[in-house]
Amino acid sequence: METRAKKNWKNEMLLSVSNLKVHFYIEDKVAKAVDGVDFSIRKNEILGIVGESGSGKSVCALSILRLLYIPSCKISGQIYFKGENLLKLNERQMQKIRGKEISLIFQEPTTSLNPVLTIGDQIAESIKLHQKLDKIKTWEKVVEMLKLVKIPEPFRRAKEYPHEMSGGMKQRVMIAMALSSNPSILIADEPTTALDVTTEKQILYLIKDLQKKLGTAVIFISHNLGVIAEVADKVLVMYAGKVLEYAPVNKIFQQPKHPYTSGLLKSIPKLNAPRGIKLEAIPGRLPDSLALPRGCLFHPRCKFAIDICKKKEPKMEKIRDNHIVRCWMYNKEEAINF
Amino acid sequence: MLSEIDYNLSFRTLEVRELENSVLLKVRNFKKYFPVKGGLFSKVVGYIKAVDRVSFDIKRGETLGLVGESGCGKTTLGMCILRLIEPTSGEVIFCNRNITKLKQREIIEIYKDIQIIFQDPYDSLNPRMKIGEIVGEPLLIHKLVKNKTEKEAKVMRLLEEVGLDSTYMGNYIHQLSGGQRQRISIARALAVSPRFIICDEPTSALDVSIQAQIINLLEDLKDQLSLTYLFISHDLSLVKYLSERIAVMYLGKIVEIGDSEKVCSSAKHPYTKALLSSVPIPDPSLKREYIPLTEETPSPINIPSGCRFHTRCPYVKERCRNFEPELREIEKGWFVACHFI
Repeated sequence: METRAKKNWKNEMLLSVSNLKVHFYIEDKVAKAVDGVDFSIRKNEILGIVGESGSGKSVCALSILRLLYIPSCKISGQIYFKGENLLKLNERQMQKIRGKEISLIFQEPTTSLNPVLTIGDQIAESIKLHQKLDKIKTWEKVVEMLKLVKIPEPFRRAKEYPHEMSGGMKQRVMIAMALSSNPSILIADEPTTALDVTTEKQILYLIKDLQKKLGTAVIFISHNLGVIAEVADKVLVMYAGKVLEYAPVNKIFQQPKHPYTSGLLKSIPKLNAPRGIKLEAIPGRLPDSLALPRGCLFHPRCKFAIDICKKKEPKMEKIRDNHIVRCWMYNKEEAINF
Repeated sequence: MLSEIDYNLSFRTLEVRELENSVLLKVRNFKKYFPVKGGLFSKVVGYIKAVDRVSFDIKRGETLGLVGESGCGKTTLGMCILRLIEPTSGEVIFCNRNITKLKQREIIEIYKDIQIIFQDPYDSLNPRMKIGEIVGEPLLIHKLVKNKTEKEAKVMRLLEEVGLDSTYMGNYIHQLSGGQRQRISIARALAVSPRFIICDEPTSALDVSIQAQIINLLEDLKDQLSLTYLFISHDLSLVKYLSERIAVMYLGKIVEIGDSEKVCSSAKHPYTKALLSSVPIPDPSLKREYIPLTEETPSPINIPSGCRFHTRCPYVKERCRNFEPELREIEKGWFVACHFI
């Protein structure tokens, strides 16, 4: 396994995650928040991770930066970034990665910003941490960053406090802060969920724009399929800690292979669809992470479920170039012989 | 010659037919200004105009979708109709009764006909009550049941109606998932057999796969019980899916109202256009024109003069800054508040 991740990295892969497992030990039970996730990301690429609440998408992001400081949490697998396994680094080496090489922006900008510091000071703080600049140069950089994220009057606004700004502006500040040390990867964890649609669109455009300009790779996490369709190049569909489908964005939305992916697409109303077509809801509900079903995780809700689905878990099956699905439907041989 | 019964029957069907086309709820010149206090003696220094001279009708049996961004006053409007918040001025006429003029004691009567489903089922249900009690409470308040067994039978029927097992009656809400909790809210609203339900973002706290279940349930109930909905949401795709007509709100005012298909396919108001162009559509091959909005939504304390959208409108002209446009009918049943339509 280790060699595969390393090989991936050599093929221009910036970040390569293989068999990532994040397990939480609660009393005598294990919650498998992330269970065997593989993906990789190149330079200039936007990877979308989509899933419902509890699917493990945020835990995935946090574990890449090793931000899960909980004694009950155990991370295993390999996360190769620029030839180094991030899980083997010590805390000091990790500090040099966080915010400098890999940055993170969160869902709720209001809670991520410090209310008693001006936004300029907060951006300056992250610049000072990673770059050796004097006071004036740092401030110049702050203003430059604010200009980059298209905040009007950056000189004046740098001296404002978070409460003086709107949600969209605050998210722009977060992006400015995250990009201030020119990281190679930006992880955006539901960055537009708390925003209105018109602001959301602006932020999505900004992220795409900056990604092109700076060549940063982006891992974009969202529960909104529409948002993922707009930004991502490749999409990872997660369900209860596992990847169910991994494919380029066009394939996911036009020829979804996994029943969960196609079910999700059929269950959301679309603005461009004519009225009168009934939504096809996925029956049942998300499984409890402490009591996951046997076999395929999705089988209790799947309308195509057969015997084997209830007993044995399917592997990730490559059905075409770049299109990987975890479903017995695409491994008929074994399913029939079972 | 018609017998008396026949005559009565035909008369009644006629009346029903007439009522079907008629207006169930009329809102006229509705206002809610929240005072802003400040200074030394907490003087009123200004007003937040959450809802500012709003008028619309809801026809019997239809779903009117109310969309707008956060802070546009859509939830306040919903609450004011039920007088959960007292409106500043204006009229709400429901079945020939002016709700705004009723005394506090008489409003309870109205709650037999109008109910509301709130956004967050985690907040709107009492965690210390059993599910049977939550759903049964409206029955007791309105004295719709005579004894305990009757109440229990009714609650069981209601739970089945919303797709829950009647064994949940003795459970508390923390034992249920978000989707199931929202089903409880719906059952509670249905307990008094209302005619009109205000749905205030009933699915925005739920996951995508659960949202469709609740939406389908609301649709089915509407058909079975011939309900009328005011569906409040920020999600345009959802509102379009559910409603016959859409009203778009911006900073306390309705800027466009009309047939949902027409509004979504050929919106007239620049704000509706911009909103439509921002809605994410799960189809990466689709290329749409994107109308970026400049600036941020102004604060509802300092509403811009003239057309309140003029600070962000891409087509702004001199007249927009000084004169406020009123809703004008541009086609039958399609109203737009813009000078240049």
